Amino acid sequence: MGGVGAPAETARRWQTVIGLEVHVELATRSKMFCRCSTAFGAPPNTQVCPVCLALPGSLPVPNRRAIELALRAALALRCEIDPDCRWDRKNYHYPDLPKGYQITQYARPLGRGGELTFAGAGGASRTVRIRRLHMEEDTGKSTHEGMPGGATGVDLNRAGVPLIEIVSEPDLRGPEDARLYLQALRLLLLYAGVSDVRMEEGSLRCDANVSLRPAGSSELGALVEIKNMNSFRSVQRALEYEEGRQAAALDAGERIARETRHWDERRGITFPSRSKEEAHDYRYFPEPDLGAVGLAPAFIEDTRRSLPELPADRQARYEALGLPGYDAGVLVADPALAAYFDRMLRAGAAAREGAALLSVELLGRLNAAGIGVDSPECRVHPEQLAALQGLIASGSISGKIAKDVLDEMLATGSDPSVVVQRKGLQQISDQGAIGEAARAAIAANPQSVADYRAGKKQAADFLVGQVMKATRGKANPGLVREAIARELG
Amino acid sequence: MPIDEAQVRHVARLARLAVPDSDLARFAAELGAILEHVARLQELDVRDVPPTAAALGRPGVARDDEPSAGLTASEALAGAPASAAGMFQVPRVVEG
Amino acid sequence: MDVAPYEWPAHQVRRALAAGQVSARKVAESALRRIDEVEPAVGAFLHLRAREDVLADADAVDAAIARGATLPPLAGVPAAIKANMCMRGVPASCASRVLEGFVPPYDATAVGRLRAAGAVILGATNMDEFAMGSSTEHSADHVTRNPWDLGRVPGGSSGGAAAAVAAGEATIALGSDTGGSIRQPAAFCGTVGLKPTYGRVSRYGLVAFASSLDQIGPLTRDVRDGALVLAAIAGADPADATCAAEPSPDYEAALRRDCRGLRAGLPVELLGGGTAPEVRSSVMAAADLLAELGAEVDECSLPTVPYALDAYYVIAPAEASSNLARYDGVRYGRRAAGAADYVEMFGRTRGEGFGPEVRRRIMLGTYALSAGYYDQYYGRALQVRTRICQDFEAALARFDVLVGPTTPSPAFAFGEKTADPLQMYASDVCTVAVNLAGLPALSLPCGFHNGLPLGLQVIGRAWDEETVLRVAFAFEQAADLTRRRPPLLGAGRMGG
Ligand SMILES: [Mg+2]
Ligand SMILES: [Zn+2]
Repeated sequence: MGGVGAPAETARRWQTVIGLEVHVELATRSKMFCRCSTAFGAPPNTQVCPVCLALPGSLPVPNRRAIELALRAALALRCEIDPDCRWDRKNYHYPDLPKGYQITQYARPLGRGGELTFAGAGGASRTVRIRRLHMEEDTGKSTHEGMPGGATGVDLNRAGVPLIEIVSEPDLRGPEDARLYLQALRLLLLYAGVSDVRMEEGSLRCDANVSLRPAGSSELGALVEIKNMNSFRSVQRALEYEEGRQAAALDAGERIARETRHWDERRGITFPSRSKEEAHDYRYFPEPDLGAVGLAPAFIEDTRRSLPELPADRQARYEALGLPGYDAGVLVADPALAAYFDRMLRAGAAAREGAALLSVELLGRLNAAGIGVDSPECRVHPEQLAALQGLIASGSISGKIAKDVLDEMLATGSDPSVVVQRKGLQQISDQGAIGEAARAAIAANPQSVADYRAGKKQAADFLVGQVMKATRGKANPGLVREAIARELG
Repeated sequence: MPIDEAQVRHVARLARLAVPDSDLARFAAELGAILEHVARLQELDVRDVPPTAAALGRPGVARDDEPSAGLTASEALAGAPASAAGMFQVPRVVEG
Repeated sequence: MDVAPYEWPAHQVRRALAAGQVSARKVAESALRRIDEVEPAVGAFLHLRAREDVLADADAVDAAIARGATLPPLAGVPAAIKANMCMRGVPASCASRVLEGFVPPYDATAVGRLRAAGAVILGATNMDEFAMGSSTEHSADHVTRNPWDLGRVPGGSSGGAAAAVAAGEATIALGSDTGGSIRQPAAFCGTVGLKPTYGRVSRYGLVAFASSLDQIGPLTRDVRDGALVLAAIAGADPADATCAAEPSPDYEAALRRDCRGLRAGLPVELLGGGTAPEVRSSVMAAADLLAELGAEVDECSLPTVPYALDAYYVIAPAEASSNLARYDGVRYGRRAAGAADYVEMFGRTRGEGFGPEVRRRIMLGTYALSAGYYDQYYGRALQVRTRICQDFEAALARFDVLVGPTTPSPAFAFGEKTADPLQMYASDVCTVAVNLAGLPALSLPCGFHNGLPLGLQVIGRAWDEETVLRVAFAFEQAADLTRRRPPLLGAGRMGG
């Protein structure tokens, strides 16, 4: 960081203001305006047709599912929906933009005025307002790999893939906030079933507008747009760099140029973008090849009703069940894990203990083996893990034995009761048997008894341990402790 | 003249049309004459008149999300002035 | 004396085939012979399909007849297609250098339907580049001559299609009409030309000029053929979101020989000062004839229509500037050689590939949409468009059809209007308003002046092509003008 003043001092002088523009690929099987597949990773130009190649005479026809998914996203973000939203053309020339324009929504976006609440930096609840959410189509991809003589190659497989663009108000106050917002947005869209949101495959992309202003001021400084941030980490890093760069410049009395800058992940810097020298004039106008999107009120309501429980609601529900906020957050952050946990709850597991069994014991083992809870290789079903928790709760097995049972369940896929029976791991809770074992331990360890009588109360622990050892850990430790105490008088 | 040579140059750049300097004056004159003619549109009072981008719009048209095969890569590239490695080839584009 | 099959209208071809009086091969051969004779003088085509391919299509029709199959409505009818509609394997250059070498890998919906209706396609016809023009002089390839007077233009932009039908080279043709590009050349060449309601015919595969105005329609020898061709190509298409779901009626059944009970309005604005006296008197006589046929004819007013040309010359170029952005030399067509980077490559490909009129309209449209000018030009033109739509709505609430001239004057001479774009634009003055409102309209011959045909325009309500066809048919039968043929006997007689 090239800051002149100390960061803390700088932070007092300048306030960082950040707004994010996020593009998300929708989880459809076919493209926005044609029937080509959206599958990722196909050989170049094998998922193309007259429409997405922009052959003369071809026309777009919207994908109903894409509209529905965009609507889900807009509803999940609590946007106001425009049932008469329309399509516009955004005109610019670029080799990977086949029509010479992008079909998008400009004057009448699908959603406006939404919000997203999430745990910001330091855990404080933050609410970011969503300015607009609109539908559009993706461009193709340019590469230099494999091309002769430094030429550029254009692959149009991605051209026309359905996107939503989510534009936040400049409500974010720091790089960490920005990253946390983005992660919360990703999770929301994942829950809403809108997108796979894989940043590494480019299905979630983010540009940021950053400006600094004197602390206490309400005016916005000169806006700098940052592009090419390809991971959550790089979003935070790029914004931290940019924050420092602008603060240093302002501290030195310089003016910040309104410009677009490119993040260089390897060098860890932003630099002015060369392709954006000329001011853009996109000449938006209504797309004459398409009528209004035309969302029937019943369709909007059905879609709203079909939205699943979203992350914030699920977090609240888990906390109401007694889970600590952090533990609930761990579960909510992974939809597959949360779904697994919900099945455990439905099978009767106790919330706190079940959550611990899941996120400590099962997840620890699965992570070590590189297996996901929702993968078929995970042979322990939520109902089985709930049953295991039930065996512990009823005292049928101890927590320690439960770990061995879980190992066996993972290896064989058997129910916990079957494992317990087969291996004879049933906890011994029979008063008579435990009393007998306690008396045997006392008889075999006169020195411990003497110590105990001499006031060394911890000698009882040794005797309890001897009983547990003799019963190969199966005796109910609480009952053993009681029996020893009773026998020692 | 509603449009001068500098504006012609700007518009040509937006439209990605190479216009030789020697043609700028003629373009300015021709476009100027047309723009002067269509300036008649200003005579009409259109306050509170909504725009009509399409006379007989058809809202709500959409299709199912069913993929189908389009063209093969060789069909797609058949008419391309230049291609290599299964891609459309263009002079180098500098990113960033 | 027998008339050769190339002279027959489509419905006569169908009748003769059904009666076994002729074979589809004979009809096709007749058309091909006629093309050999007159094409060097007329120049209607940009691309002719190989003779053996045309004859093979005709043979397929004959084979179907031999099998006893039901004859499709346009079986064996020789057809020409304007070069801005895609046909798999046939170059669709739009008469532009920028599309040099482009061969579509797919069929336009309308072309596919015409084929399915049995038509035998001869080739692609000449036009103004990207349909921008009113004389076909803006073709990058060659000019097309008006069969009635080879020193005059056939009109445009569907000039090749109109000339081919008028000269007997094709029985029917498909054209496209954005501001009058079917009706105006139909009027100049003495044929019938029908622009359907916007959305009646799929635009899929029609190379876009101005998407909110473009519509494919027939150019034919007579009104009945217009009805037949429209029936073949009309109807919903899942590939065109602006194509209506409205069912297409049996247009041939709508044809009647009278106008009883119909009200026809005569908009005074269409007969304004710029109208040639011979056009005016011919249209007035046509109105009298309609009255004789039972129509109630009265004057009416479309007060905003005098501004239609101005609105059109903002809206159409604006849409065109965007529609033509795809011609960048990346995926198909022509590319300028030796450019250092893509910006230069795009600029030179487009600068060298587009002709002057196309460049002019791209510039105009780009300007009208650009920052700071949108409201003044494009935005305002859309508001004026609303007023024009309202004018038509009001008039068509009173009248079943509106009638007037198709063009302010008969066909003009080559070079007469190329020097001044505004003069050329003015030849669309009677037709553009109809496109702005999306209405159906038909042009048919209503008289001759110095051997040149004059066109009567019949405008109908949206989706009511039936009434338009009915009025046109009744007039045609009574006026008996469509049987007149240009004095064009063969290449030997052509003086130029
Ligand atoms: Mg966008
Ligand atoms: Zn496609």
